[in-house]
Amino acid sequence: MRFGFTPVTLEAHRIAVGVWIELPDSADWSHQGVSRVIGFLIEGAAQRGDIIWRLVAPSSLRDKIAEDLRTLAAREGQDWTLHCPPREEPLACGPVMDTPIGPPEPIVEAPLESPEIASEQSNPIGLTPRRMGQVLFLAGLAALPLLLLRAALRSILRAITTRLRLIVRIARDPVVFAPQLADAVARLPRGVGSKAARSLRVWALAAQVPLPAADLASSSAPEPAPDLEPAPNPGPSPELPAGPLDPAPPFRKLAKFANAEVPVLGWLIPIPSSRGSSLLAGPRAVLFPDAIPYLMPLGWADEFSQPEAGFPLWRAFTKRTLEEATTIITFSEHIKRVQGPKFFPPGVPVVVAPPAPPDLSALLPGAASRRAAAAVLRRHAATRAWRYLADFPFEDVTYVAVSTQDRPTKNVQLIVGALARLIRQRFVDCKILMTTPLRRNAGRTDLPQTVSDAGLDLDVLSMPDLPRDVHAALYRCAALAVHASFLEGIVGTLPFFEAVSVGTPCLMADGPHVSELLKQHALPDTVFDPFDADGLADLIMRALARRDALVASQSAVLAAFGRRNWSAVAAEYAAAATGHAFTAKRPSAS
Amino acid sequence: MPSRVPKIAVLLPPAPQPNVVAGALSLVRSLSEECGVRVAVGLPRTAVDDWENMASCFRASVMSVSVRTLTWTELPRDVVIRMFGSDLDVPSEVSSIQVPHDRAWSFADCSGWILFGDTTLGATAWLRPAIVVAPQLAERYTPAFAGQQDVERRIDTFLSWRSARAVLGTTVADRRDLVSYAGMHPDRVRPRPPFDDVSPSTGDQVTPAMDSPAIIWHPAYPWPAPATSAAIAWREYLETGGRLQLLIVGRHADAVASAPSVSSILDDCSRIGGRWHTRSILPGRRLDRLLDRARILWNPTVADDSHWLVARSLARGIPAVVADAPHMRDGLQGDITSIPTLWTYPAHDTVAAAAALSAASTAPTVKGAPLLPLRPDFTPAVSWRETLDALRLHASDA
Repeated sequence: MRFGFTPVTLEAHRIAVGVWIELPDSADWSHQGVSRVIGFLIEGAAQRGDIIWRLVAPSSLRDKIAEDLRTLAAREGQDWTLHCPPREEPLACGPVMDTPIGPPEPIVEAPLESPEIASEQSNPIGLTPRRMGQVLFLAGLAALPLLLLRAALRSILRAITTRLRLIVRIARDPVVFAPQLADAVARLPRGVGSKAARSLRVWALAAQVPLPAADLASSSAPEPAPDLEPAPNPGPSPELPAGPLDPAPPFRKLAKFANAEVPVLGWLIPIPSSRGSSLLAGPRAVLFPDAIPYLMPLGWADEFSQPEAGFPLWRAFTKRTLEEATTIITFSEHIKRVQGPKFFPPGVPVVVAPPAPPDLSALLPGAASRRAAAAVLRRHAATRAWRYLADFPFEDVTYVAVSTQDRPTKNVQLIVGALARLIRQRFVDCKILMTTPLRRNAGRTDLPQTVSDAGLDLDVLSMPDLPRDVHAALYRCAALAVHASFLEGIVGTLPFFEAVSVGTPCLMADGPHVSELLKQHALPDTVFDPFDADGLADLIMRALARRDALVASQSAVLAAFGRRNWSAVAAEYAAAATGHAFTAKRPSAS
Repeated sequence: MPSRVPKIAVLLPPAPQPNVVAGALSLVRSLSEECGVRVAVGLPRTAVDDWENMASCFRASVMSVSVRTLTWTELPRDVVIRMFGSDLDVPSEVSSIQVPHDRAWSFADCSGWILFGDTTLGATAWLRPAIVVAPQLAERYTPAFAGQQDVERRIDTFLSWRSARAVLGTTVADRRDLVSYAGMHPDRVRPRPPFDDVSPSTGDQVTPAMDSPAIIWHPAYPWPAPATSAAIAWREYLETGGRLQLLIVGRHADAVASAPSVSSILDDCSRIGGRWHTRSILPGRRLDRLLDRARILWNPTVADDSHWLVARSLARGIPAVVADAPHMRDGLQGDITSIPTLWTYPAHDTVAAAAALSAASTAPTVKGAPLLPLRPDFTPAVSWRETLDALRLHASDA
């Protein structure tokens, strides 16, 4: 399947906007962070009906992204498409056959043969079915000893071939597999592999940085993909990298594929450090959510502070990408005011486009009762083999929902500290159910150890990587949601809007993002000091005592924010990316 | 005895606490005398002495009550399925199941099961229908085990409880714990009927010399963490002029007093003139006599069955000093601050505990104290007969 050269495709009135996803193969594409924003943008476009988002991503992420986007209230092929280059390494057992899940397959990959071709070649031997049956019977008898031997050895052979195949793949592409190997090594008991894992991660990050041009020209310059035809609308030529800030080879190939196969009017770059985006043809709007490690440099993984691999490199990448942008989009005035002077080049227009408050109520089943939501959670827990939660009375248990990643700025440990005080000192029956993963021996976080040391293993429960409807159900059954982050890029916090949209109040830690929200709306009994676990425990007790009043006051704020919807935000982003002027529209039923 | 009378097995876990043995004895008496059912009691060998001591005054019919020793054996799940059939109602992730084993097969014809304690891993799947008498989930309130909590085993226990007909907790706070912490469905969690005061004294023990009034501290668990804060509170009491000696009483008295973190503080107390002793006696008339001669009952723990002991103390007009915890508030009737012989203080506040001990030791004795200030929910209005509805096994049904 191949698109035409006109940027307006499928439906004549839709403007095609590219979305450049430059993430490593090991990236976790779950319902959080950038992926959450992209999902909302797609649903906003679906409400308008005049935008189609064309996502370009590495092949390794294709299945994860497609599975996630197919849960959206949007139509694949009309509101969004996903484009990935063909996989370079087909499995040894035969060609990869992609089985579409749900709608017809609009994902562009290697061209597939039409089924009609195979049918035209039927019966080339000229035997009747009866005769062929006899031949096959005899052949089967002759092959019987071999088949029996194979069956006897199958378990051994399968184990050997599986591991050999994995070893060969690792040997072919060690950069891609290095992070996974590092994770596996880091999980060894007693931390014996932590040093090796750190070295492996550092090496992998360093290996993704392009070597100097002289080295590349001499030996290791990757060959251009032979199966890609010349770009009909070529942008800047993906030449060999000339410096450490040039794109990595895999993303140069991805950019070449995008220019050749994905015709759009402009590009949205949701990750500002995406250096591969500099090779894209057409205007580019770079989304700059925040640069939080600039303000909170401590507590990240060790390699994150290394100049050749970590945040310094991210900062250099981001500054270069922003210099080459047509437009910069940011979520809030405080990010523009605080971090703009450090990152935004003069002359590049900056658009402050706050995200619309997400409304999760449409994701809940039936009348959105707690019982129905709890059933959703139990079903999902059974699917994921979380045996303690598979039969858990979510609707009857008082718990705090925490939806965030495990990062130094997210301050999840404060919530755990407050819970310990509630249980141990004030005898309040309460739990934390969070989407934050608890990975033992991860090496970069103390959260799992903190939970274990406090004996809270059955009171702080992790439910990571939730689908959107289950995520909404987690909020719905919660007594409260709490978000303790020191700083966010948006106005307020996403958990605040998500939780309140399903009728659950949310408490937030004070910070510039909350201050900007409080300038517009008063929120009593909602904000706490991000350094004060006792204060948070007090606030949780007060909020539990007057939950209904809190829901009412916070719902009023949500209603005020709700006048800005994702349809308008999608139009703003698309306009920033393409320069096309979109008219204001009421959300359509599509 | 007609054969149609149902037979109910009452099984105790390995190494049961003395209060568990006393509770089981009370239950067996109620079942046989009030409910008219036959009872087969399964005791681990270590609990036989405790049982016989307590049951010396209990003249049950041999026909209605049979006592057998048993062993809890942890068997792989597939072995249990081969032994007892494939219809085990147990999650497939549970790899091993506890099976009670007795040589005489005394429980082969039982039609209902009552399991005591939290070491009945997986047994509810095999013993059906079953009622679990849950102990207090005290580890939730104490970072006990110093991070050594066996989470997987705890999950196995909770999953086992969830497949029981009912889980019996003691107080309203217990019920909340069982729902929130253990994940029980609230409809299956019921208040536990009170155990009758049938436990006699362990008469073979030497009468302690009680020349002067004392503070009685009855630690329910041998965990050092709460005991340490209690010892600190007593030191604070001595440093602020307190004179009463301390009697650490109960099965775990020696274990608590010899814990390194506790013993060092008790040594400090001795140096500043405090006298303390341990008495390994069980709840019963002997303890009641000790209470009568003591001055104060002190209950510093925050989650255990001690509200029964507090109630017995108050019934005798003995002042009680207790940490203010939900289990205590829910177990005692009315506003506990209005009980004249009861002093409460914020849990974990050692200074407040010392002040409460001082106040109680100087207060005049109050006559006419409430006889048994337990909440109506836990009075005999809720009987074991009603509780057995969960098993649907009444003699009257037979």
